[in-house]
Amino acid sequence: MEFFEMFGGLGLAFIGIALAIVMCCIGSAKGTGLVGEAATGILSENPEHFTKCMILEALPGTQGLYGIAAGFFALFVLGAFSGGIVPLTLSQGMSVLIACVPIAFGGWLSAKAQARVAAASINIVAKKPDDYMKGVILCGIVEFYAILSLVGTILMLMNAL
Amino acid sequence: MSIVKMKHLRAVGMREGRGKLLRRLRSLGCVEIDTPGALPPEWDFLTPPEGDELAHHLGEADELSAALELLKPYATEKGGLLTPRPQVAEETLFDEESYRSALAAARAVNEAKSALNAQQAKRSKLTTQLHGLEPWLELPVALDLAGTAATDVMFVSASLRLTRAAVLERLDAATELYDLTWAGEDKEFRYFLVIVHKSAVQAVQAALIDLGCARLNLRNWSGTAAENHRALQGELAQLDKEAEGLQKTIEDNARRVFDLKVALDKADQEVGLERSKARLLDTEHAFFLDGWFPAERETEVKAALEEFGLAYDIADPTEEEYPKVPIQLKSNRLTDPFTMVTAMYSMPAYDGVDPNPFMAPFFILFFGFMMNDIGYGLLMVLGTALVLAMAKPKGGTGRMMSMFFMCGISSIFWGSLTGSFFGDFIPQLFKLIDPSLLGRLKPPVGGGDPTWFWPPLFNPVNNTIQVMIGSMALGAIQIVTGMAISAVEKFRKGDPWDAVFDEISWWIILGSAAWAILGGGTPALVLLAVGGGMLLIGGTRKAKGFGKVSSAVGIVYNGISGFFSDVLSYLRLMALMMAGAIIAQVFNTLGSVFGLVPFIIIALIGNVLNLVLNLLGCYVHTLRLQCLEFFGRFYKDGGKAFDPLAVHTNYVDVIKGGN
Repeated sequence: MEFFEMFGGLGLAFIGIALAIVMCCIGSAKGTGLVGEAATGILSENPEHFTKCMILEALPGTQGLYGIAAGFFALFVLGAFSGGIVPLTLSQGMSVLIACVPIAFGGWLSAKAQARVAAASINIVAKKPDDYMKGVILCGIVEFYAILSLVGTILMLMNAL
Repeated sequence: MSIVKMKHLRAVGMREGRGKLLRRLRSLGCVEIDTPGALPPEWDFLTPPEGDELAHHLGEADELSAALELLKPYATEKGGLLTPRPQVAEETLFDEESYRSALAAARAVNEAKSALNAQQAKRSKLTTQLHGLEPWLELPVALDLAGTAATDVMFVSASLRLTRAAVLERLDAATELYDLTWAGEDKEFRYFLVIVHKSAVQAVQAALIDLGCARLNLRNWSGTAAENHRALQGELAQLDKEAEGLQKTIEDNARRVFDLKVALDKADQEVGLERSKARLLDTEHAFFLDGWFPAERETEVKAALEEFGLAYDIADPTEEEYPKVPIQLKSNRLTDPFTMVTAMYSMPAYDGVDPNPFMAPFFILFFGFMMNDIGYGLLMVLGTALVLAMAKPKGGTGRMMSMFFMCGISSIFWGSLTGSFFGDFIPQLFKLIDPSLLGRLKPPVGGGDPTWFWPPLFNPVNNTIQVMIGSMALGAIQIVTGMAISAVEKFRKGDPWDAVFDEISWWIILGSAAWAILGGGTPALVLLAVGGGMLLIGGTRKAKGFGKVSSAVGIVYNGISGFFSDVLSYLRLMALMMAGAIIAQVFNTLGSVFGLVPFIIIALIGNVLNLVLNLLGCYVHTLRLQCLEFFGRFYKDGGKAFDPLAVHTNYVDVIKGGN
């Protein structure tokens, strides 16, 4: 407890913001990496599918964006862009930290799951390039849970202080 | 707006002149030739036509597409989303002479390419030989120099690490009866010629082995290295010249790319024709055709059949035939783009409903609700309108563009209700330019910061609860609509009790429950009980004994959980609406920290990214709501799309002329 008090509410809030950003970015980095690897296989044979592969690779990249959006929104709530951050109480700091949990985990794990769908969809590009939008749609279904996590985080942040 | 009525065609004709008939039908573009269903056993002797022609046309199509692939790097014409496909008259497309000429060009290109490939192998062989000769160039002796009665000739290579002196020293130690001529060197070895007296051959050989030298066999050459080298160089130059010629053949044909495309389109038509032909049945001189065509084209089809002297029978499909009837949807300009969505799910059964007119308004409404931004909507409308006007795309692309055009209008509509233009771009911009400009903006109806030129009705981020209730209400409306369609269909098919028990009882329950919650008192509860009773009677009317109890439990549980989980699913409308608004806001705020110019750049990039993400998200989730929640209530699928024998081209648009 002493440890937390020493930190102060602001420290806790920043842990939350850092988690939101870093977890999402890890997920997206792993995800885009996985799809990129899968894409090189087909690109070595059919370089003309580059755009399609790139779109699929970019899909698990959005979670990183959501992470930074959530982190940014948290800073915004804390007042970073409207006259400086004010000190927080311990419970306020804790609220911000918890509010960041949905997108931190939702973004991280959904990026990894989406990457597997996207990597598998590279097969569609290889075999039936015209149908690749179906792969993108399948990825879009996974994307929804990252969006829900983001919405959850934002809703909580709006009520955190 | 509805499913097109089909007619079942069965016809018998003579094989002579069949090709012309099929071409005529292809030009009509309204007859789908089907594999005949169950036939009486005495028809067993009928056989499908032979597939030689198909293989022949497939081969030609392959040749043409291979040549087109080769010519791709040299093609000068530019295609793209904004270029319309060239138009070609039907007679031009099927002109045999220009087809033969294009095919000849394709063959010339393919042959030149394979000759170039063969050359490549020869060239690398020659180059290797050339390199092998280089160390011997200075040697004035023929490479096939044989020994005499008294002497032996050895061509030798030694490692460069061995100095000339060391070689000479070792040989001198072995014998005096030899003569050594140094040739040249390469990166690893030095080369020399030794002429040795027969009596000393063994001694020299031993010395050479000792030194680690290798004896080379150059017998397959004749003449000196220099002579051979010159000859090889001559051959290579000849190859270069030939290659130039071949390359020129390919490049010259690049201007014929368009002809090749037309020819490939023709070859594809022939392949399609042969594939249809393969579904016919033959006797020695006659054939049997089983097919479908839209009832409205009957006169044209009859005229064609009579012209070619076919004996035919045209009938309405019987109920047993329904699963085989191909489905064509009759659409107007508003609903046609949504055929794409329906086809992606599954075409309706022949006795089902065309879902497009019901789905289209919801699709457009929901898409706009989630996108809800004037700026994004404008970009969608302008972008799609540009493509539609410039390229006039047909088929899938055209439908997609028209669909996004309509969804864009809906996005502008919803955006004008929430006062969102690239998120909060306008207030942020005004704040940076001159905060006093903010005075021109109005706050939302419910209060808050000023955001738009007229007072927005609500704001997705601040009015979360209202947006949530609104999305579920929209969902409930769509689900009730779905149930209504299902009820009407059941009445139409003469099962009114199914409609009363399965749909109307639920409406009574839901309506009276809502009434009771709002303070309807006893009458509402009585009505609720009536609805519940109807549901139980209806749900259990087909079960017997104890089955009645389990099916009653099942119908109540599934009904309630199904209805509510379906309605809850519409919360995605809220989620996407909010997520889009927040991400736009985040980018705009991020940019505004750094001043006006960075604001515009960052906001632009961020909003474009957000638009792309939202396009995908809104499309996927609208689609899901239609296919799962809405179609689940009434849609009877299982039809296969009508695919008539017609001209389907990839590269050109065909203008119909006379035949």
